Amino acid sequence: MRILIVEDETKTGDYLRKGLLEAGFQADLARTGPGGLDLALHEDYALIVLDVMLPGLDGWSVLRRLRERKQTPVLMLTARDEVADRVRGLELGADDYLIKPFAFAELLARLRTLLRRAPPRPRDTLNVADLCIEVQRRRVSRGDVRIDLTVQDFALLHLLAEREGDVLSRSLIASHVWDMNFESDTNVVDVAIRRLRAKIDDPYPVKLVHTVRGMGYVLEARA
Amino acid sequence: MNPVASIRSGSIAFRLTLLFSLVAMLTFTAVGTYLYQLLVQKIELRDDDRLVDKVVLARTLLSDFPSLDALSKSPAPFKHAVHGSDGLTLRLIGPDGRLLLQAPARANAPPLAPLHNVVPITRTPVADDVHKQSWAPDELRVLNAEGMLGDTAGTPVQIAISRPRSRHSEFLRHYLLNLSCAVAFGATLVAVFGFLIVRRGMQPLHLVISQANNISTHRLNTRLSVERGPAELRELAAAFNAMLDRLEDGVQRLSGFAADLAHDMRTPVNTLMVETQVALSQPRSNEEYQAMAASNLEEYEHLAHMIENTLFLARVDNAQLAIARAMLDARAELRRVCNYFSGLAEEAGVTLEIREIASAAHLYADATLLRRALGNLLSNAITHTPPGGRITLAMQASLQGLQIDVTNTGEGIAAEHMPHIFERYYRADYARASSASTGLGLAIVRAIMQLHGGDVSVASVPGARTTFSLQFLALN
Repeated sequence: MRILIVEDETKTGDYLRKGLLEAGFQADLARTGPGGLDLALHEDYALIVLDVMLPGLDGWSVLRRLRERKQTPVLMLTARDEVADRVRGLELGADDYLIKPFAFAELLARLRTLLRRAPPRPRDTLNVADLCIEVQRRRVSRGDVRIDLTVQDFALLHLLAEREGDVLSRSLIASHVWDMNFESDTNVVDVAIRRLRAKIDDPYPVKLVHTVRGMGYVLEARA
Repeated sequence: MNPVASIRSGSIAFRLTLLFSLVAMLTFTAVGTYLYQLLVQKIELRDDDRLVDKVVLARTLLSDFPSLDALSKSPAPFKHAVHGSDGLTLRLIGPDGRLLLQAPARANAPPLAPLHNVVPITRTPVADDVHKQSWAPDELRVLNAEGMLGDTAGTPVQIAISRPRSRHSEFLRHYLLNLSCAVAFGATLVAVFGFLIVRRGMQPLHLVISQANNISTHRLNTRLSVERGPAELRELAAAFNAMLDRLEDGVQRLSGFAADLAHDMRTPVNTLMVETQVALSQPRSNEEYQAMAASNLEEYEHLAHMIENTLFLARVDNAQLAIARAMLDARAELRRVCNYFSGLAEEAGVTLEIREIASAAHLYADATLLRRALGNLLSNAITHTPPGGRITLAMQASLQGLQIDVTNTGEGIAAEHMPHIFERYYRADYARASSASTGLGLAIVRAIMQLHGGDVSVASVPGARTTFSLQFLALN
């Protein structure tokens, strides 16, 4: 999948491109507003990551001109988080909005959500390696062994399993599992993960929950 | 420029002077007009009285004449009667309608019109009997009355006496001119003296201006003094001084805030620089580089979090934060936050409980902000409660509305820290503060409560417990 990054800040642009390439995307980088608009109009991208502060033509204008011709999904990046700005971006047709500084894992998660055309179909049974989650019956087992989980543990595991392979940031986990939508100083999520691991990973040789240092947690079977 | 706008933007002295003159001009004109009208009326009345006198005189003269013949032979007494009275015309008309006599016999005398409002012989005329009659060059004042020749037969004769109204116009015109000059002169005098008085009255204002000019951000402790000035200016100075008090306080807090912010930002940046410089000073293994990058990332997150919190507080100060209030079930909110922190509390060996609340309680608040405030209080409580301790969440109806208490056992807060703990970047114990703390948690709690029109307070028993109370106002 081809992604266009429009970002004038040299380091940020380079690292975003590098990160996206490593995450398995094809990524082009434009460093000016007009350059980005030109590429966006003449090439075919699955998604555009658009910075607001750009030389030549700002992100709002690029977005407006792009929307006159194309409906490519756009994720706006900005250092300003005023509500009015956000509303303006969404009114102009942005599909999502990310405030700097952001976690790269968060960006990847948002990109993947935007790229998934249809919302994920809720599955009743999730399987990762020998871990089996029966969502309706709230039953979890590894191999043949039933594992008893608290409501919290189950919610956390369900979230990780639904997004198998995605790195989930702590704030995303706090928001989904406890509905806590603010950045917190506390390591509540780490504690919760530790408790979950004690039940589903510690007794088994193959570990499924992995820490991606500085980014968050991922559930996957690693070879 | 529009004249009204230029008056409004002009100096107060100019405006007041202009208004003074305008009011003086209007008043003088009104008074002058009144006096002029009064004079005109008095003169008219006097002239009408003279008409009455002349009619009475004519009647007396008529009674001396035995017959119409005698009258036509010696009309001299009638001529004498109107002699020297400017503009008076006396006519005697016989019973057959014939003009018997006209005095004086002028060519330009007003024509004889049909007689109206004739005063009968039985009644003495009065001024009210004088009436108007139109005439081409001027209006006439006319008095008609019956007279009687002195013969035994009693031949009736009509007396018609008239005068042009404008007999005094020349005099009145002069009077009007003088009056206008007096009005103009008076208004000018008022303007000049008004300007002088106003300017003198404004003198203390210039004192205030020169004092205000000396105030700058470096000299915010200067205050205005106009003890001997007028009351209004003393009030202005007092208001201005109060504003300066607030500004000085604000500027001091702002500079303190900036210093705290710089200090708190500098620390993680310094860590980052040293760590990276040491790492780059010689070749290292991949694992070491990875460890450094991960450690740096933690500092970055800390910085980002600090910036986010600082921005939050700045926006609360500027009231830019729109809060989305809704009716919330207070018990459900307490349970949710308890749930969130239960793992952390368990790990810290602390009991976390909600004291049972009898009745359902509702809160009108922004859910995210409420959770953030409670979250900050609970995370603080967990940090400061020793293992084996207890944290209690309780809710009670207070006089104003609803109060939520977060109580934790522990060493409590020393009295000297109590007044400051809600200040930004204030830490009771810098050495013990965890690196993850930004020192903004309680400042944010207070800001959130202020956004809700409520308040936060703290009570502490050293060595026993600390209670933070959130007061939410009732909906009405």
